[in-house]
Amino acid sequence: MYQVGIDIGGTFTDAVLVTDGGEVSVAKVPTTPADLRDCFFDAIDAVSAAAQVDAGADVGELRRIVHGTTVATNVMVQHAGATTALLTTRGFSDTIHIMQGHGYTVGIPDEMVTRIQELEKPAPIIPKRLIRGVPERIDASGAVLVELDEVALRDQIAELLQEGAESFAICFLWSFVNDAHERRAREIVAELAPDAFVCISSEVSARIGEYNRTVATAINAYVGPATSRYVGGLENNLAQRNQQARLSILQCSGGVVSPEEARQSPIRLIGSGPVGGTVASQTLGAALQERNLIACDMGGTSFDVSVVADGELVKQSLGIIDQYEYAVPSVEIQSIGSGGGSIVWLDEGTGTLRVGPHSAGSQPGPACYGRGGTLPTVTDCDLIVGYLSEAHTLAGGLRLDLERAVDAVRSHVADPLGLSVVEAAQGALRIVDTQMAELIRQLTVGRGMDPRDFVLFAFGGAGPLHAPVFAGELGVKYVVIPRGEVASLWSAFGAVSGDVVLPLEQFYSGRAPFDAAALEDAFAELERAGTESILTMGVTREEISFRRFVDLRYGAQVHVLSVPAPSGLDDAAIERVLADFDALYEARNGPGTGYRDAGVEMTAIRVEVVGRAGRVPLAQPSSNGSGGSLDLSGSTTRTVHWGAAVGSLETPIVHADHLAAGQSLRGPAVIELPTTTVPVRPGDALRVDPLGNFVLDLGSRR
Amino acid sequence: MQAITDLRPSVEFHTDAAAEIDPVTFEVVRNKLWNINVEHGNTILRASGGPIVVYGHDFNPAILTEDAEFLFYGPYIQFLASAQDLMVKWTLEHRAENPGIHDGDMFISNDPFIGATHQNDAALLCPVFVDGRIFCWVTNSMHQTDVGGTTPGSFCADAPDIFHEPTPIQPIKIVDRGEVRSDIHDIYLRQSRAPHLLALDLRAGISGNNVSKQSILALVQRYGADVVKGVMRRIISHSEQVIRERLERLPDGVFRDRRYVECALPGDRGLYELGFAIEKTGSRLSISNEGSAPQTGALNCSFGGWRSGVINALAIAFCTDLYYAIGGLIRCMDFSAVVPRTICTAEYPASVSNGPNAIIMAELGQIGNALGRMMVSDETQRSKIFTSAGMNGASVDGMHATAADGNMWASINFEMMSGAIGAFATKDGVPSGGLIFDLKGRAPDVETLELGGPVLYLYRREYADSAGVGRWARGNSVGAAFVPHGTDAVFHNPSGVGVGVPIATGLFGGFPANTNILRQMRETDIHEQLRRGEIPLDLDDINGTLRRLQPRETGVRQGPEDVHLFLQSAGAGYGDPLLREPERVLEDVALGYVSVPAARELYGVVIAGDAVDDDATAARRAEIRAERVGAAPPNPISERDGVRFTETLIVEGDRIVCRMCGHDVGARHAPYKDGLARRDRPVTAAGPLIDDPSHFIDAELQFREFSCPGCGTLVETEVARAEDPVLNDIELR
Repeated sequence: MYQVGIDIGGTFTDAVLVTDGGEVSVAKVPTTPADLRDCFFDAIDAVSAAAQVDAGADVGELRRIVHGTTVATNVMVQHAGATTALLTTRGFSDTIHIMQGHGYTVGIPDEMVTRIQELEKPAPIIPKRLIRGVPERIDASGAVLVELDEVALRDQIAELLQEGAESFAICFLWSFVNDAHERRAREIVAELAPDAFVCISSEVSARIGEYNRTVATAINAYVGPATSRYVGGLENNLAQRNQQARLSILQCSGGVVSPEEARQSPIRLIGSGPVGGTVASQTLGAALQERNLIACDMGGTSFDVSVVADGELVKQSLGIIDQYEYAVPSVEIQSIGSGGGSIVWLDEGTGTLRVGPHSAGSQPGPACYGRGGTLPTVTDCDLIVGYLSEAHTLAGGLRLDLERAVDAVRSHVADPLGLSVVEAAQGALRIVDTQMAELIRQLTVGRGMDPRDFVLFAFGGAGPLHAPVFAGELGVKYVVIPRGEVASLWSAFGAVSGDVVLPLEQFYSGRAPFDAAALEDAFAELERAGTESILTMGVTREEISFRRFVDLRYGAQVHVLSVPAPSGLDDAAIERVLADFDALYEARNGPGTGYRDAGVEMTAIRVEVVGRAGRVPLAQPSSNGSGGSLDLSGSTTRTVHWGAAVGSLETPIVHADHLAAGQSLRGPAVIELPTTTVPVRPGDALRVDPLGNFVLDLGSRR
Repeated sequence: MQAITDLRPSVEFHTDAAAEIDPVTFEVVRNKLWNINVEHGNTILRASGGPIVVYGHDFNPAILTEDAEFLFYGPYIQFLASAQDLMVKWTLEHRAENPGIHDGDMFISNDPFIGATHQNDAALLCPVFVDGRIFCWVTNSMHQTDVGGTTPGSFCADAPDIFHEPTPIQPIKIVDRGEVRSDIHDIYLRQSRAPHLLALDLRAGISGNNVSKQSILALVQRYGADVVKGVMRRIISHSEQVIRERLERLPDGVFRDRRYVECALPGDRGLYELGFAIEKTGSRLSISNEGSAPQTGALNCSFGGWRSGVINALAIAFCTDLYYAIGGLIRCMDFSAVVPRTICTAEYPASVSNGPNAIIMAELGQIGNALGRMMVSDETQRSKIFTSAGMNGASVDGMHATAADGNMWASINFEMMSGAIGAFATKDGVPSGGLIFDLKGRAPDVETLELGGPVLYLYRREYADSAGVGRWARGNSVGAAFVPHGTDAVFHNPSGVGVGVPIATGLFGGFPANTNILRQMRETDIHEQLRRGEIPLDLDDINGTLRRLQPRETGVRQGPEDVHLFLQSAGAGYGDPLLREPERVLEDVALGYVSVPAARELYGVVIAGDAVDDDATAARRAEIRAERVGAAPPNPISERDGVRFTETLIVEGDRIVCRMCGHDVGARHAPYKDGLARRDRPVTAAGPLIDDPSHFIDAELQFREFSCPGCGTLVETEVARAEDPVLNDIELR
């Protein structure tokens, strides 16, 4: 039996096939933008061939296909969603436009927020002409103050259909306490517009706070039709191929769900793209018996960081897309515009060298790509200092042009600053490495975690290039560049290793002391409902487990912390949860910041219903590697400028194929892989672990 | 700021600064210092967790040099940070001998006569020592929910002097060599109605300072004290240099703006002038509050608070791309011309607990306009011009009630946070765009407010015709109405300005925004109406008796049948509204920002069905031009280029000429408004949501329009007391 993970990227579609014995095969095919289903099946066929299985014949053998898709994200980014209407409580039609009065700055980096005159609100997801305030009102206790006016509602729906509405979002005040009006409104929409996509906020995001809930519901409706068509199409084609395999879709929470659930909650696919890499790191971390991980994905335009703390994915309760903040929990991934394409420039104002956040992207790309870019970028600097080489062909057959890189750096940066080209390039790399270290610091030190307790995973085209420096800056335990062949398909590997997870939450308003029995009942009810849903996703009852959390805060505060709670809650258990809250609060916010005298309030309970379907056993490869230190004496060399402390050295260049499990080498060296490069700095050491990962020991810089 | 005059020998400064720093190290350390201050802010945001900090972002951290010069302050409420230099300086001068300033100490202060904006804003000052000498300071300031005084929330609207208000605390050592002093801690909490929130915020502030201090020490360890200090010096001097270059590009002269504030104590129907003048000579800025009324009643701000507003406004004009490194800006400023003992430079023992919000938020728009007059000539800086934005006059309404469970509930009208960004010189403002001085603040959701308090909202929406009209406009604001729900009554304590007089006045022919509106429809049948399924969208939809709340009242009772409305003064307009393209006005109407009658009346745009009636629009616009100058103006519109004197006047040699028609307005050095056609109307003519001043004040107000006699283009507007002279707001040298 085996399973397949598919990740569709902008240029390539990656597939990973893992057998139940833990053997891994990989394939990469071109992405087919016209119809993404084509590359989906191309990838399955290619990886089947690579694994020497017949995807058609061995229908019973292919257990599961797990898919990480950017289809919903793309719809948002391209503003290509359905013509969507919003039905909301009369009096609150402007809520989604008012954006709590801070739509102007949400998601804008702190350094840019000060540029008041340059900021704008984002384009509306739903224009005002497609929003209707429905006469109805429920209060905080769930009492109906104004009955749903069905006559008015029918007229409003008819008007909206006249205006071309294809999809309906319904978000009424207090629907997460009493969902009767939302459900009835959905019935009426379905009656009048049987083909329309329709969703209600109490199902999309059952959380207090009408703005974030309205946005979640609106986005869900906006991306819903396109996502449904795509996922439905995949199911149809699988059926036509007589494929028995179950299709699962990766969500932004790091779990996978059934196609039906994905169609209902397409918003939970937004941002799931990079999550695959985090889940893959978590899986590999478990195999390495490391519970604290920093996952760093550096590509052409951005640097994405996520954290696994004590074995768990670190989550955020709100997502942000296009300055819209929505109430859906997801793996927290923080990004800055520091990628290979980030532009190196001279800031006339401060008279200093700056890097990013503007990017040359892949078109025109760095100057050294020779595609018309003339501005110097990080990749040009990598080439100048010798991490990259003209001789090494990149994916897609791209060769780099050193002369163009030198020209760009010289004319735009080095000459104006009175620096040599190499000095300027080294300077730019120091700056970008510092920016990345700062981001990681904010996510760890800023949350009361010490990076010295963490292992750093570096992936993406530029991650392994830069990790040796920024990881050293942070003093992490060591750096892992994930197992050679899988590294470049890391997200697909993550998809296939994801568990089935249903994240559920319920509003709960109370103040300590809490009623243990009532809480236990509320949790049990959520778990019962979750079990029912997850059993429809092909998970067996034995595979199900639950993770409980309570959202707590000190009296009169706004922010909450999610604290794990045990099953079988009693007074003693609750007291332990409160003590955990105090401790977590101080760990996050500094010693002495906790203040139990203010009282403790609960705002929600959460359950993650987990179906342990995905766990991928990683095969221990036969240790036929020779082990020992690799002899670099016969290697080709080139000059690498390692920086002021070390200087310039003739450095051996090693092709990754020449490194087997168990082998090691000492820096200076540069390891070249098909899609990336690893500089091993003087003093650092690199070894290949039994799973095939490159493990970089940072030597004295720890 | 003047140099520290009285530095005690017991204080030693760590002043070593590397002169040569390579550009890469500079950028790396600069980036780290900026991030340290951001992390300081994030720590406070997380650890405080109080509604005012989280929603209002009513706090700000800063880093200052050893001798109290600003390096950075954060992107939160900006004027909260910008007096911390005065407080650090005072501490150095007065606390060095006794009790001494030591490593590990922190001082707390909320004294407005030293530098706090008002007593609610408590600052924590933390010296950072390297080798036993003061290397720099990290500080923060946070608005506290309640620090005592006559009114819950500590905005003491009826306090005649400081003795009726929260006791101002001069800088006092609350952390002694790393240990919180429990005696000071307890006395600090003792006067508050919300001691738990005060305690949490204090802990958050201490934690924030510690995070910042430790990070700076780590930076010193890694790069050396001289390098870090050298970077600090260079950040400040670079920002100074850039700002001086920008100032050099602007003409020398005096640039003014005038506002009025009203109602100094409950029952008072007085009107008070708030004057502002900035004299620019080369790259030096002399700042004055000339014309401001003497300090009075509870309508006062101390010099420190007012100066913070000045710095804030100038930072928006000159520092947005310099990471708010305002130390360099302050070096260009001179406050020696400031007139003492006015409503914006009040001295002890004046009441200052609730005036500062009103004064500072009026002042920001005022200075925006004055700076606009100074900057309009320079094409490279014109896009930085900003007009009055939402929260003008800070009509804060402190509310309280007894909830069903018997607990006391207290809150404020958080709709203020929805804000409105007023028009810019080259583009529209932003409806419900937030606050220009607090970009990351936000309004809590209605559900959050209803869960927390005994209220039921009927609506919360953007209001058509709230923004001032103009060539650029659309800075509309948000209004919301609610009834008590689960309590017998909610009590209101309004304490703002801009209620009886439009305070968000426009620039270069832009119109003022609406007045702050606090109204109740009383003795209604609202509950019956709801049962019938009718949800109102305005007070006009409800039967009852209208009660206007005065700008300043205490304990106004709202019973269960009374509907309370708050509508915030919105963003002002920029430029002549007749220059706004008709199609843009049509879009304003479609989006609900302008009503059809206002489009016709104020913009001269006639809309028929879904389209602009071009002929009727041309006729209506010609009619408005004729009304402005008294007869059909002689010149056709024919735009010409030139160095701008205002948006529509240009300088040609020694003459001021209309950019739109070439009409000669007068000599360059003469008061330019003398050469324009003046028309006076009641202020209510400037917009349908400007309330009649006679409900609130005795003075007679005029809406003055100054237009080109040649073509009828509106050059400038004034909202003025009838007996006050025309303001010569641009006086070139």
